[in-house]
Amino acid sequence: MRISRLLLTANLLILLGGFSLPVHAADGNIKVKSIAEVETIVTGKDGKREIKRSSPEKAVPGTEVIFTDTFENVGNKTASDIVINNPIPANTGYKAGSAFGKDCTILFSADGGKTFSAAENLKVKGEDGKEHTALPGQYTHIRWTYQGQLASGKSGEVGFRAVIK
Amino acid sequence: MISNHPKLNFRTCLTSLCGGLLLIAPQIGWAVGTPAGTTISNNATLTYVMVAGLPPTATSNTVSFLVDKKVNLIVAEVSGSATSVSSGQTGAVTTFSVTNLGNDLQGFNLTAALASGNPATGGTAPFTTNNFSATGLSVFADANNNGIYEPLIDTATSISSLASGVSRKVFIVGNIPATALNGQQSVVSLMATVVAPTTMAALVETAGANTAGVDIIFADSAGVATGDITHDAKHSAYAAYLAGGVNLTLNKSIASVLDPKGTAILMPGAVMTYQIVATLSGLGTATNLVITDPLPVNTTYVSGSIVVNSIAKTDAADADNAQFIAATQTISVSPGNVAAPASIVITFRATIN
Repeated sequence: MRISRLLLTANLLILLGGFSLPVHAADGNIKVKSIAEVETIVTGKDGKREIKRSSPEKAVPGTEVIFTDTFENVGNKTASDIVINNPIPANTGYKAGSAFGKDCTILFSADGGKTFSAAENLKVKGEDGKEHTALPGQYTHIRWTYQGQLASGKSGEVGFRAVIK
Repeated sequence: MISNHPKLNFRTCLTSLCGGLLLIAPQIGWAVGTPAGTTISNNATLTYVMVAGLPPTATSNTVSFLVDKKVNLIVAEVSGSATSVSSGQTGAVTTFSVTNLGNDLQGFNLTAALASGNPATGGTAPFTTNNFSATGLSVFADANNNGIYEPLIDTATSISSLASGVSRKVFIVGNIPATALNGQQSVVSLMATVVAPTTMAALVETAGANTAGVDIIFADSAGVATGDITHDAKHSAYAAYLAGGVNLTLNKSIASVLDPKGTAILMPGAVMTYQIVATLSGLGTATNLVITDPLPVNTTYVSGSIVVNSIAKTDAADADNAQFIAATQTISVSPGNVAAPASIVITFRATIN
């Protein structure tokens, strides 16, 4: 319970502050880093076009942003049962099929994180009171469940794309 | 696998609740996209098991960036057809709409212009033929956005502020030369330029790399007017005046007075000759034209006095297309279909009681 309260406080701080705040993990054995990037097409000197990723430059409505969470086991023991939970950022809509994560089961929530299920089974109540399959833009959370163990010094990466509304 | 640890689930719920708050709060007032200056933040929470006991939690940094100011607009002609006018008409009105497609409050400068030549490129039918030039073009914003030009109300020549996603009607008002022929068109364009609201200061697109603040990004498409390219904070559209309508003006006067003494003094017993001149200008045909005139009060109609274009008419409702309707004390002349230009001169007499 104590940990839970700590976590709630930390989240509230983020809520109020908006910008980066150092939030201490309970034992610091796993570090998580979240980054946001956009893709731009750059034409090189040789005329070849390539996609480059950079921090969001032209972040106007309609821009697709790639959010990546990297996690690293900085402790000296192997970790298991890793679950990563990422709310879809406010004012953005999840891009269908964009969630990625090696060796992960990916589930979604459309009810603020109360329940999670696979995208095709996710339901929302429409204005007519009937349940419909949730549209990607209605997803509120993504949860990755890492299949396997993360040895000391190893890292993993999960992420998704969302479009600014 | 997912619900291995009930406590883990409980924490997940708490995190989710907070995330939910983050998600809902800034949604108020959405129009065309997220408002400029909004912060978009992301953070992830991770739980794991390493040693026996409570599963620890790791929370990522919160990565944030600001939503930039997207400048976008669209100008469109409202009716989709040319505005019918008659040659010589003044104050002919064409109607446009200007829509703020950006994500912030903006002002709009408005410019009316004549299309040069036949705007075959960029123009869509019926705005592709340009045969004559309307004169004295001016532009007015529709203050109450009712789509009707009201000269006393719609006086502003620009839109000082328009919220994201909102449209405003705009009028071009011009005069039609008397030389415009039936079927000829004058194509005009309205160009709107996005400026700062209220101050109407010009906007400059943020150049080069991203800045920490809110950048200005032009996202408009090219318009029809000369020089209206993409991403210039401008948009434009055509409308057209189509000559061919018939304009009818009626002028009534007292042509002569004959009093009982043989002079021209307005007194009881004096007989007045009224003259009504109906002038049809422009081009085309006025169909089923009927001109009626109630007799002035305190006068008595002189029987058999109706004359139309120098031809005497009877008072009865018959084939001569003119009559005096006693029940309503009204003169009625029905010339039927009349091709413009034409004028019809009607005279009749009445005695002052």
